[in-house]
Amino acid sequence: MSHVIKTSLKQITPITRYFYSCGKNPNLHNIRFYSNKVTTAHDDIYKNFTDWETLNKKKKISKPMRAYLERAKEHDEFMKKQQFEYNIGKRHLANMMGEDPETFTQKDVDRAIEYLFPSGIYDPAARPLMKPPEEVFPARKAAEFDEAGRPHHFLFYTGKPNFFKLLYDAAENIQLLQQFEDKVIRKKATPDPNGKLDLNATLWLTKDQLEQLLVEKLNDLEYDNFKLVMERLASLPYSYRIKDFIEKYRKSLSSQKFALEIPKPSYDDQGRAFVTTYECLRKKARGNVTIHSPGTGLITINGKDLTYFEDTQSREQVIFPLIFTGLEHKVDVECNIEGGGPSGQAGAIRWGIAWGLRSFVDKSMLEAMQVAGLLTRDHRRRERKKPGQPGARKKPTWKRR
Amino acid sequence: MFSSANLLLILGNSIKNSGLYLRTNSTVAQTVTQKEPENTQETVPKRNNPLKHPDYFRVHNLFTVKDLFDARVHFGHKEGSLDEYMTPYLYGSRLGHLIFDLDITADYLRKALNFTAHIAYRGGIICFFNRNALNAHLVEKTAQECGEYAHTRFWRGGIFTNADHQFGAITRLPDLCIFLNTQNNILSQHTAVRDSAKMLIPTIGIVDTNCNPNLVTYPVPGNDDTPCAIELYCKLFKAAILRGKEERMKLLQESE
Amino acid sequence: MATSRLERIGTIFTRVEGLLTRGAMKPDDRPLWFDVYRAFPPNEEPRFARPKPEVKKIRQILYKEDAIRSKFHSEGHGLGINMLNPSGETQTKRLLQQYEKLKSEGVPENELIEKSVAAVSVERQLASKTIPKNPDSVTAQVLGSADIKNIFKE
Repeated sequence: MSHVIKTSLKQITPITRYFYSCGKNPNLHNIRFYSNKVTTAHDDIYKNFTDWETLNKKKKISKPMRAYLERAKEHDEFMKKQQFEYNIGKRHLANMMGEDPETFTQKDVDRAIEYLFPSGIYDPAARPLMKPPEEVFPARKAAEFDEAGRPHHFLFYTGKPNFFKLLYDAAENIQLLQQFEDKVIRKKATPDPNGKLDLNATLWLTKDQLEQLLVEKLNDLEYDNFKLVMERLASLPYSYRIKDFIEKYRKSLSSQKFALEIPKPSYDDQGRAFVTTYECLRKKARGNVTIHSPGTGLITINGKDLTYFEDTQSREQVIFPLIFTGLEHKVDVECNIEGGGPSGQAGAIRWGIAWGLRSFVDKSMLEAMQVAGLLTRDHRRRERKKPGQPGARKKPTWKRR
Repeated sequence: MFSSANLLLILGNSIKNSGLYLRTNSTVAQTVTQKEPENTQETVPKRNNPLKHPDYFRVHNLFTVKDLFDARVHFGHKEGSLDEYMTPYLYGSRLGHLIFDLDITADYLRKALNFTAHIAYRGGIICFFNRNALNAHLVEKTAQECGEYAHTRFWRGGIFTNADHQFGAITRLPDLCIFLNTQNNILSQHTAVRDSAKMLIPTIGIVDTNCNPNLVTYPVPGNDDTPCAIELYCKLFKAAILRGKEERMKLLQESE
Repeated sequence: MATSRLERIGTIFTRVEGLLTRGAMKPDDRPLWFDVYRAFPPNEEPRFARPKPEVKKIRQILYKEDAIRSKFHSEGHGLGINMLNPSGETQTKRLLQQYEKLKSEGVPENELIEKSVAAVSVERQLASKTIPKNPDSVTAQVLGSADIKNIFKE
């Protein structure tokens, strides 16, 4: 075999020489002709070739798929092992805690870990934990190609198929709408006055949200392109026809979540409705606020009336939500508050009253309260003092020397 | 199975064309002709081999030179931007604008279409490329319609050369890349042309007068900017792919 | 794959062929396109390092009537064409036809241009009158209502 190859290789050399001499004379016919060399070189190897049709019948699994299957198998085995170890560990824990291993749940595991390995580390993620392996190890991506190794997505080779498919769809929709517009103009029809896309109440998805939706990482330029294309699409006169497509990539601004979360008032012995808001926090103050309705505008703070606060600003703070909603003489407020100073306590009560009043006002008032900032928690805390300076930000008086 | 008839045909052709060839390699020619009859006896294909047929998928009738002319395929760029490797494909220059010889273009395009149909017949992955934003949507649409792939966006380096890392797994690369234009912009060539050559992927490329055809396996000299020309190419390649796939379906049904 | 990534050496075909002859690649593992390429090789080998084609002067595509055409164009006749409706003859072509016709009739050289321009404009006016306009079209309505002759007079 090797002997045969050698002779054939020897024979190539004159051909190549010929081929170059031919190249200097670039007549198209000649160029076309010298490529015929291809067929004459290694006949003996070609003779051993199996026909492609025969090879095709064997239908072997492609290399990428085989690799994927191998990795999937490896991963399965790994997870199985992890699961086994987790179960063993759970039983050990149960024995240590003196409980029944059969009925030992994940909640018990967490409790046991907290008890056995007390940790003062601030970040909860850094504390010791024991979770089922499915929660610890991220899920694997499913195969993106079939048995022959052909990818499923037609934009697979761009590396971000979902994102570019989105741009493709947007372009497709723009073309469709323009065609539709042409048709309307040609028929001299008047556009549907009701068909208008209202985008005031919604915003485009943020970059993070879009990334989550598409399961792909985007860079800033790509996100800008997304917004550009979608703005263009939404600005077309007949964009209401593809409302579904556009709204898939928009998020509503308004506070619909309140509708779900607002608690129903409870009723006391006298049949009065009341709502209690616990955990009213502001600065270092914390307390709870109960609102009774109907009432006469009675305000009780730690057993005293509004004079609990000596300064007018704090008093104003407390009654502001009542005045804003116009309920100052219709409800009674009772609060217990501790910690912090007057302004912190007043702020905590203000938030608690506003939060409790949600159950007694209508939806438009709710939105007005939202806009007025009554329903927003104030998370600001005291800033720590820095070493080398008298306060958080205050610096010693500057002297040249 | 090696297409011996074809070999004989080409050999005969080369003998006709050059005495020089015969003189230097007469032994090879003899040995091949001797082995010839054995070859045909060994394998009697049930189905006639597509490779033996000069135009198995009948791509020859997909278009005429007039179609090319109507689609403005003959328009090149201005003389100043001419790549000297493109001179053999030119018909001439009309007041400074280069004009392609559509007879040559038709020949090259038919070869490219035939190759495409054969790759599609063998179940190869075909990927369309194009960096001209004007035609990008059309190209993507064509790819989707014929069940193949497209890349009309910014080319991140290493998609072919570092594929396993880029896609996070062993990935099958395309078996054929079709470039509807081979330039990123007027100054630089698409990196995928080079990367395909590196990764042993054959390429078909529409090369305009300002492009270098050297690394493109099956270059097609022609206008690569005008939308109607691109539309024609897309239509032709789609038809060739669909014909190849149709034959493939027949083959698969037969073998079942 | 064991192949070299130096794309400027040889061609994709010669590189695969090398692997096959030396046994680095099994015949059954050869790429899918290999047989197709062998059966239908490209007209020129896709070699990066190939000799430059002979420097040939590019043929200038010129026609006999270019001289007449330039005469018309230098006076601004027949320059506008409707690119949305490429079918049908361009105005320059009509002018040329008229020119030839008049020349064969024996009109003197210096009057040829003017006369053919005049003839073609008459022809065009006739043609535009004979084409039935769509009375509903916006253009027709606007043109009908506009007093084009007195458009600059107030």
